Amino acid sequence: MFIVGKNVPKNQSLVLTRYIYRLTYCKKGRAKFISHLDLMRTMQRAFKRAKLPVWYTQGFNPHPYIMFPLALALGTESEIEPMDIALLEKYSFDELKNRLNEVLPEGLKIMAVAEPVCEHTDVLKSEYVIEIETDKSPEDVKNSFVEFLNGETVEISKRTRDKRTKKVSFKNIDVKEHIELLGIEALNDVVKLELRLSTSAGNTFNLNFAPVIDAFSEKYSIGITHISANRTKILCKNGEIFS
Amino acid sequence: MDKKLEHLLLNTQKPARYIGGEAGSIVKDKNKVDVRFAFCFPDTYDVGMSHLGMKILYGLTNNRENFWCERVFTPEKDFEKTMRDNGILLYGLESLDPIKDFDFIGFTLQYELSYTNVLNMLDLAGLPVYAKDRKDLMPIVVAGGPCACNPEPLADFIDIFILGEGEEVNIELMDLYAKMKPSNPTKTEFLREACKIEGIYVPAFYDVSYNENGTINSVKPNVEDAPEKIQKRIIRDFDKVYYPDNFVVPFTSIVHDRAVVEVLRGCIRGCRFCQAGFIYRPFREKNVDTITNQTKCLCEQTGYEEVSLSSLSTSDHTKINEMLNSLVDYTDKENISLSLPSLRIDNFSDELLEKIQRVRKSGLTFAPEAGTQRLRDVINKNITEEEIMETCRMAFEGGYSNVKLYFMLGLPTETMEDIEGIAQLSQRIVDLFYSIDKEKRGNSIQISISTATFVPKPFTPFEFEPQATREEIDAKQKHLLESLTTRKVRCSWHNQNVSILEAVLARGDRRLGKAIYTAWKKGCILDSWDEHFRYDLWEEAFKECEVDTTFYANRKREFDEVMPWDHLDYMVSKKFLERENIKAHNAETTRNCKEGCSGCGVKKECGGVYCG
Repeated sequence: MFIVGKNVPKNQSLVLTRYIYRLTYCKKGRAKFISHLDLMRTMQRAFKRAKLPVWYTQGFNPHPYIMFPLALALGTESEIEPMDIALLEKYSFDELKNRLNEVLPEGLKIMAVAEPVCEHTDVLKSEYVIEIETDKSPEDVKNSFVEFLNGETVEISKRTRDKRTKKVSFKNIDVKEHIELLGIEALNDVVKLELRLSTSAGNTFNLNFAPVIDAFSEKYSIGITHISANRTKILCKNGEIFS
Repeated sequence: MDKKLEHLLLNTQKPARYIGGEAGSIVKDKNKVDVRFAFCFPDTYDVGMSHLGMKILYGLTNNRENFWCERVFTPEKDFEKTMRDNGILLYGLESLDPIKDFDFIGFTLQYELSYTNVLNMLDLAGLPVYAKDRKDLMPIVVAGGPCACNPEPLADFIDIFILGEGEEVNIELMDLYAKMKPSNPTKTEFLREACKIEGIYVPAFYDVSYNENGTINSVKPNVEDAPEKIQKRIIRDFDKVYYPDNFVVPFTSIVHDRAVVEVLRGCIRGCRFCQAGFIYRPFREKNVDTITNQTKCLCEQTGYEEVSLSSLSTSDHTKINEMLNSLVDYTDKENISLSLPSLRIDNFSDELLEKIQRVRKSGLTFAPEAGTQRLRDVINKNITEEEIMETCRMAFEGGYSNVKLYFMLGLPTETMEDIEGIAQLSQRIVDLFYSIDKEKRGNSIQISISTATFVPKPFTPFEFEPQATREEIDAKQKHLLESLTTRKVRCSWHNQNVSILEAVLARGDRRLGKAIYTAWKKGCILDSWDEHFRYDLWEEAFKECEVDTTFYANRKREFDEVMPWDHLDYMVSKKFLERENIKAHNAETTRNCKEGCSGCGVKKECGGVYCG
């Protein structure tokens, strides 16, 4: 098979002029099942459909400049997800938003466009609202959860993979210092939690709520029948909202 | 979105495959449509979403306001278990409604190893797998695709087979249904009307009788309206046929994740082992403008950055240079990469070669199919060793250093000499590489030989031939390994059991239905996946159902034997196949359609470029 014009360095002069925008998008409904890796591709194609010229990095292996400061776990919904893009031409914020929203699949929507203020490395924590339905009474679950977080340690099981042997193993780690409970309510048939978790970008520790809920349900033998989660805020080191 | 499904998907591998909602997917109001069609590809999402036929028929059907076509695939084993444990019925990806409530369930039969998935999907849908047990009008289970040219092994399970190209007949069938539905016909009443449409085959309306030696005596209609012979459908004006202006663009990566434009249909070459070369006749092509416009339109609508041309042999397009010029102009400007599978570079103009000089240097693939010129003449593979060498030389000088060669073992009249020919051909390619100036070529060469076991298929001149036995193939594989003297050549084969099963199913009759059912009951699904293929269970099933696999796979048929598919008319005449078979045994080649007509039986009204 012949593939014309793929991964072939083109002997062209470098294109350095670009316009960077920070988009805030929402990921809801069916779209919450798009994995982080797939989201990249989805967005890339959306830009192409919207005929918005994405700037490509100018190295040996050019790739479109579309960046996500923070991954959103599969299955989690959000209306505040940031995405940075560089375009070859300048657009008004409104035009950019409208043109993208015309071509994005169901569940993905651009909420706002702005110029970036914070650095990606500023991200420190995220807040989530999580609703859990279980086979126990919401009041019991609520009390158990408070007890769970008030323990000496909060142990979760973390999957690790040995770099050399490629063996997967699970080890227990204490994440107490990475969780804050902002609120908890027992409603009719659900327990509503508000959590603040460490989710700093980069190589430092990044906590997802799923293993916390798993550890909790296992420790208290609670069967979870449904869970819905929503990321509501991304916070910076200085305590301000990421923008 | 169903809350239960949502929760279960969170614990499933790659859930995006089971939830729909992709760009380009079409959601309608179910109360405003007359006919709902579930288009089922009997394999996983990653495979099925790459299938062009589904994209065409999906767009075509949904173009009609009163029809709604949805996509359905086989779940992986993890999600199948989840579905069964939680009582989730197989659903359409657009509405997430169970397909058992649809008007039609349509399967595309692309390869024999997907047959158990058909049964499994019907079962997952909550339907009886046997057609006779589905007594209501809805849903009507239909099936088409290349394997429908011998649909007999599945005759017990399917209500209607659609023969040939679906772009017109599918709509006619759905129109008929929409017209009859308000008067609440019985299933039989509907089928009696449907079988009058050209290309529609209702297997229940035919009785098969057998001879004492196990061969077929006759296949006769048992109702008045059913025709003696059912002719396949064909699109006469291929340039004007519907082609989608948009595809469903998946979130997860699939096998062929790109825009695809069909440039021609049918093949002029007539290689005697190749079923596609006969059942898709005649050769028809699209105009260059049509191809260019469809390429532009698809790329713009989908956002794909890669487009591929689909055909049986792209370089046989009468205006190949003009077409590629026009396409490269567009794709270059838009930074889109253009894939050209099944292309012979020997008939390119210098100007064009220069234009596509910026090609990715990956591999070079040849399918000589046989190791000696004699055997290549037997199979009518009109490629000479000089041509292979010349193309290799051009490629090596252009910096290529990987060559892939495809061969078949067990072809009719094959001898050990032909096997040695494979090794010798590879050796000559290695020698050629080292004879080229070091400045011009790469450092080292790697040749990969892939050998498949020949599977005789219906509607080919080899439909009469026995498949080589397991012992014969084993001996040939061993001999090939012994004949290879260079370490620059790597050799691999297809799973032998797969080829045997394919051979049994490809030329099978209705008596295989029970064995397919039994194999599925024993747990045979996803047979096309090495990790799931369980030949031991298939063997058990054949044994229990008293099916002798050698009767179907390894038996030579006489010209006057009634084949299980003889009541189906794919336009290529049996007389022609017989002539070709005799010529094969004399190692005589047949000219291709471009060089002159060989009288295969396809009428000139069918719109073939070289017909009449």
